[in-house]
Amino acid sequence: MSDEMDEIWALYLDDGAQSLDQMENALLALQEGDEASAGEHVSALFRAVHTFKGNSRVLGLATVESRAHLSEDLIGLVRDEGVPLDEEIIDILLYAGDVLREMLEQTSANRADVDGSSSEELMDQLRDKIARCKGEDPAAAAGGDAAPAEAEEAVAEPVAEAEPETVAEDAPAEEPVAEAEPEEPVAEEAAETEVAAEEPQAEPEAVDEPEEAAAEAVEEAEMPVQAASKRLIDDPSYRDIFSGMSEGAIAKFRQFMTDYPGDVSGTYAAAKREADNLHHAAGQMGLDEWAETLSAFMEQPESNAETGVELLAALVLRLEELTRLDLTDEVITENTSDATFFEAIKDALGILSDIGTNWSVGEEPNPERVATAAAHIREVSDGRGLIRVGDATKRIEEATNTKEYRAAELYLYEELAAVEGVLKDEAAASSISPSELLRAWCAEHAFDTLAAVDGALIGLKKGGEVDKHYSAFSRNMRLIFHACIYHKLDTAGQLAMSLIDLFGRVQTSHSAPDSILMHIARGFTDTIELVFDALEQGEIPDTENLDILFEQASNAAFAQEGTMTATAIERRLRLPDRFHRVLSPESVRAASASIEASHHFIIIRTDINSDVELAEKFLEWISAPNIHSITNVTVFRDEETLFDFLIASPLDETEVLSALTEMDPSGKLLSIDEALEDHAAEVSEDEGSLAGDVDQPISQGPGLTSEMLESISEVAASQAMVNHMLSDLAETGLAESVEAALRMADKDLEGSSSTIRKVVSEFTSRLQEAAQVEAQLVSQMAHLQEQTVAIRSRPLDMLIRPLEALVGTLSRKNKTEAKMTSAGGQMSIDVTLMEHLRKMLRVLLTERLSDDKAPQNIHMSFHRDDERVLVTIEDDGQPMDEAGLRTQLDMHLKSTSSDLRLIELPGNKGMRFHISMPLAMVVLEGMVVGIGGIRYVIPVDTIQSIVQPRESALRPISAANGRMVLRMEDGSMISVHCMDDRKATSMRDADANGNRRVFVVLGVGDKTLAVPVDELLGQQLVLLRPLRGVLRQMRNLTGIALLAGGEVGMVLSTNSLMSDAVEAA
Amino acid sequence: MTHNVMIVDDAAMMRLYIASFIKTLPDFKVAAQASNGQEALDKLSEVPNIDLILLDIEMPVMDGLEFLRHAKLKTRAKIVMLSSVAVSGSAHAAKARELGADGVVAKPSGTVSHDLEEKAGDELARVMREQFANA
Repeated sequence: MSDEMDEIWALYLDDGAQSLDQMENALLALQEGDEASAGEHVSALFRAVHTFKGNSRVLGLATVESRAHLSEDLIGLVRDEGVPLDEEIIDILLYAGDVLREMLEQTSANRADVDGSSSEELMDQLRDKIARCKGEDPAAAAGGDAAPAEAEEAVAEPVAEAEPETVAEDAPAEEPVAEAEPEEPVAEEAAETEVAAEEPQAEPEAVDEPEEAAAEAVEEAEMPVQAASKRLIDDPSYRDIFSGMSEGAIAKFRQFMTDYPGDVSGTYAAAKREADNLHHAAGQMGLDEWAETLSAFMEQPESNAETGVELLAALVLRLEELTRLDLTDEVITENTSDATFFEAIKDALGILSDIGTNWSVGEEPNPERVATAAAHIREVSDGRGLIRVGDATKRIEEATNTKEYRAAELYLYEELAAVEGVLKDEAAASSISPSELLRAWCAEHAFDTLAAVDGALIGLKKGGEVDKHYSAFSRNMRLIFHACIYHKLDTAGQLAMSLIDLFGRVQTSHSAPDSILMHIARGFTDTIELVFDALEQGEIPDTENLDILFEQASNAAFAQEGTMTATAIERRLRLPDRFHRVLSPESVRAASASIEASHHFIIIRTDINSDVELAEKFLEWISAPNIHSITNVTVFRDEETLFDFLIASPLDETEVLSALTEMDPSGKLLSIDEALEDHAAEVSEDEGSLAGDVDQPISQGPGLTSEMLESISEVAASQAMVNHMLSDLAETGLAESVEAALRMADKDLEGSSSTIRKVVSEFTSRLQEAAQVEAQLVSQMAHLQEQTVAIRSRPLDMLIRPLEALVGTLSRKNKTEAKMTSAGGQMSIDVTLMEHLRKMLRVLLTERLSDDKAPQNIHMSFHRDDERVLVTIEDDGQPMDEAGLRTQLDMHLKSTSSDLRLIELPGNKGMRFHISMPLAMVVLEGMVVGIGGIRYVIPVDTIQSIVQPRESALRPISAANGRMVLRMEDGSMISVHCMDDRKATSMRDADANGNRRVFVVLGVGDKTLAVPVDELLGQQLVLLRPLRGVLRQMRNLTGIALLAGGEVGMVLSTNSLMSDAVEAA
Repeated sequence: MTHNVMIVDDAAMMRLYIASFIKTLPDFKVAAQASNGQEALDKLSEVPNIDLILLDIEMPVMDGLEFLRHAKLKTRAKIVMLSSVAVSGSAHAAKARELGADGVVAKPSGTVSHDLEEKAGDELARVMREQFANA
C-alpha cells in the first residue's frame, strides 16, 4: 500500500482521537454540572460525535459509524428536543466514547471495520434510552433490532417534516407535501442500510421472512449510487493527499515517456507499479473513472518504444483531464465547526449554481455532484439547527428538469436569505449575500413574473382552481417583492406584501377577491411594470401612483367592510397615536355605532396583567351591555406592561370613574387616562375646506363665484354706459352748437352768451355724469380684483394637514410614530405657490421618513417677509445627502427661483432645511401710496404708523451728511428716506394744498424707517407678480401689482429700503 | 390527529382566552405558552413536537416579528400571527408575511380581545386548520 494511504489512516486515527477527546471533555464538564455552559458543551459533544461518525463513514467503517450515529441521535434529543440531560445519558455516552475509542484503535491498526457483536450492549443501551426519551416502548426498541427503530424514524420523519408550501405553479416545490418530502437524507439512509446488512443477527425477521429480505436486497442494490455520493475524495484532507499523490504519479509517467525508449522493460514495469499504486488509491477515494483509466493502462501488454510512449502520453492526458474534473474545481470547505455558516456552504452553493447554469445550456447534471453539494449544505445547516435550509436542498436533488431545478434553487436562496437576515455579520464576513443574489435574479425576471401574476389574477377572476391561482399569485408576488427591494422601491415592495396578505386572507375565507382588491392588484402590476420598464431604460420612474395604491391597500379592509376608515375615527375622536395601529374593522364599526349614539369615549389605563382576579372583573365590566369596548393597546412603561382600553358608553366620565373605583378602590390599577370628545364639526369643516391628501394637487377653488359674475356684469354694464355717454358727447359737436347760437344772435356774443352757457353747461353736466359712471366702474373693478385675489389665496393650513397625514403614513410604513408640528399655518399664499411648495415638501418628507433612522419629530414653520416666503423644517433625524435631495427638487427650485439650504444641527441632533421662495404670485395686503406721480404698494404688515409731523419734528443730522430724521412723539428718532429725488429739506414744506406732509413709518425687526409720501390712496389686496427681465435689477422693489384702477403699482421691498438707509447713514 | 399549539402573547388574560378557545377545537391542544419571543424560542428547544404557534406581535423583550425571523429558520411548526396590529393590509401584517408567517389573523378588539371566540373564532379556527389541510 502507498505512503498516501498510510497517511489517510493516520489522519483518521488522529482526527478520531481528537473528536473522542472532545466528546469526553464535554461529557465530564456536563457531569460536573456546569449549567452556565451546558448548551455549549452539548453542542460541542454533538459536533465531536458527528465528526467522528462522518470520518468513519467515508472510510467505509459501517459498524463504527452506526455506533456513533446512535450516540449522536441520543445527543440530538438533548440538544434539539428538550430532553433533559440526566446521569444515565452521560454514563451511556461515556461508555459509547470508550467503545468508539477502542474501535478507532482497532480499525486504524487493521484498516478494516470491526465486528459489531462486541458492541451490542452499547447499542441496546442507546436504543433503550432513546426510546424512553421519545416516550416509546423501550421493549420494542431494545429487542436487539436496529431496523425497527430506524424504520420508525424513517416513517416519523416525513410526517414531522410534512408541510404544504406555497410556491410557483410549475415548480415541484409547490406540489403537495407527499412529493416535496421524499426520504431521509440519502447518505444517512445508505449508511443505515449497510449497518443492517452487516448485522444479520439484528435482523431475525429478515431470515424468517424471505419477502422482506428480498425487499431489503433490492433496496441495497438500488443504493450504491447514493452510497457513493459521500466519497473519501469529498473530504478536503483526503483530497489534498490524493492530489499530491496523483501529481507525483503524473510527473513520473512523463519521465517514463523519456525513459521508455532506452529501457522498455524496466520502464514498463515501473509505470505499471506506479499505475497500480494510483489505481488502489483512486479506488479508496471512490474515483471510479480514475480506477478504470488506470486499469485499462495496466491491462496493456509491454509494447515497443513508440507504442509505449503513446500509451503513456494518452494516460497522462487522461489523468490531467480527470485532475481538472475531480480535483481542481469542486473543493468543498468541510471545516464546518470553525467556519461561518456561509463560508462552510459557499463552495457547495457555487457548485449547485454552476450545475444549474450548465443544465440550462443543455449539459445534463451529474446526480452525484448535485447530491454531494446538497448533502454538504444540508449537513452544515442541520448542524446549526437551520432545518429549513436542509429541506430546501432536498428539492434541488429531486429536480428532474431545468425548470424544477431553478425553482428549487430559488427556494433555497430564499431560505438562505432568511438565514442572512439573522446572521448578517457572518454573511458579510464571507462576502456572500444570498438575498442580493435572489433580488438580482428576481429583478432580471421581473417581467416574466409579472406576466405570471397577471395570469393568476385572470384565473381568479374566471373562477375555478382558486387555491392554485391564489398560490401562484402569492408565490410570484413574493418574487416581485424581491425585485422591488432590488430597485430600492420600498413602498412598492411593501405593497406587494400587503397584497399577499390581503389575498391570503380572502383565500382563507374560500371566497373570490372582491373588485376593490382586484383593482388594487391590477393597478399595482400595471404601475410596477411601467416603473421597472423606466428603470430598465435608465429613466426616473413615476411612483406616485404606488403611494396612492398603498393607501388604498391599507384601507382595503375598511372599504370592504363599508365602514368609516380608521383615519376618519381617529380624526373624529382625536385618538392618541398609540391607538392608530390597533383599529380593526370591528373596532371601527363599534366606534361608528357609538358615535351615532352620542356615547362618551373614555380611555382607561389598566395594570391588570399580574392580577388575574381584577382583570377578570374589569373585563366582565367592559362586556356589560352599557359599555362598548372599542379596542385596547399595550403600553410598555419601564418593566411594566399596561393596557389602555378605549371604551364608549352612555355613562359619563364621573359614572365610569365611580365604577372603576368600585373595582379598584386604590385607583392605582384602574384609572381614567383621558375622556375624548367627538370633533365632528371641525372634521366636517376640515373635509370641506382643507384638502386631505398630500398627493392631490391643491384645489384651485370654486372658480368664479356668483358674486364675481354679478360684479363682472356690473363692470360690463358700467363700461358700456361710459362708452355710450362718451360717444354721445363726441357726437354732440360742442363747437357746432356754439356757432349755431352765435348765428342766431347775429354774431352778438353778449346776446348769445346765455345760450352758449346753457350748451356748455349741458355738455359739462353730461361729461360729469360720464366721469361718475367711470368712477363707479373703477370701484367695481377694484372689488372684482379683490374677489379674484381672495379666491386664489389659501391658508397654509390647507397644505399642513395633508403633510401631517403624509408623515403619519410614512412613519407607519417604517413602524415608527413620527410626529409633525407646525407654525404659521394661518398665513395665506397664492394657490400656485402653494402647489410648488406642496411638491417640494412632499419630496423632502418622503426622503426623510424613508431613512432607516427616520426622524421622530418634525417641526415645520412658515414665515413671510415682504420679499419671500420662508419655510423652515427641523427634525431629529440623521444627516442626509444634500446632492440627492437637490436633484429631486431641482425642477421646482428652478421654476420658482427658490433657494434650499441644509444645516446639520450641532451634536448630531438632527437636520434643518430652509426653503426660501420669492413672493411670486403672493397675495399681499398693501397700502397704495403716491410718490412723485408713481403708485407704490407698501406691505401693510411692515407699516408701524402713518404720521403728519410738524415741521419742527424733521431735523437734519449734520453728523450724517445732513440726512433728515423724524422725531416721534415718544422721543425716538427715525431716519427718513425719500423715494424720489427731492431735497431732504423740501420734506418740511407743506404740499400744494398747504397740508403737512405724510410720512409712512416702516418697521422690520428693530429697524425703522420713515418714507414721505404725496398721497395715501388706500389699502387693498393685491396679487404680487415678480419682476422679470431688466426690471429685476430695480432697487428696493419686490415686484409689481395691478391696482384696482388698472394702474400698475410698484411693491416696495422694506428689507431693501432698510439696508439702503443703513448704507446711506 | 391532535396538533400541539404554543401560545405566545404578553397579555396573561389573552393567553387564557386563546387557551380557552383552543379547548373548543378537538384537533388542537395547548402544549406550551410564552409571554414573549425570547421565552418562546427557549420553549421551542424545550418542548418537542410543537406543530403550530399562535404569535402576538407587540411584546416586551423580543417582539413577535423578531421571533418569527429566528423561528422560521429552526422549526417546521406553522406560525400564525394573532395580533391586534395585524389588521388586514397593515404594515405589520405585510412584514409578517415577508418574514414567512403562514397565516395572519387580527385580534378583533385590541391587545386583550375578550371577544376573540365570538368575533374571530371562526376565522382563527379556519386559518389554524388550513395549515394542516394538505398534511
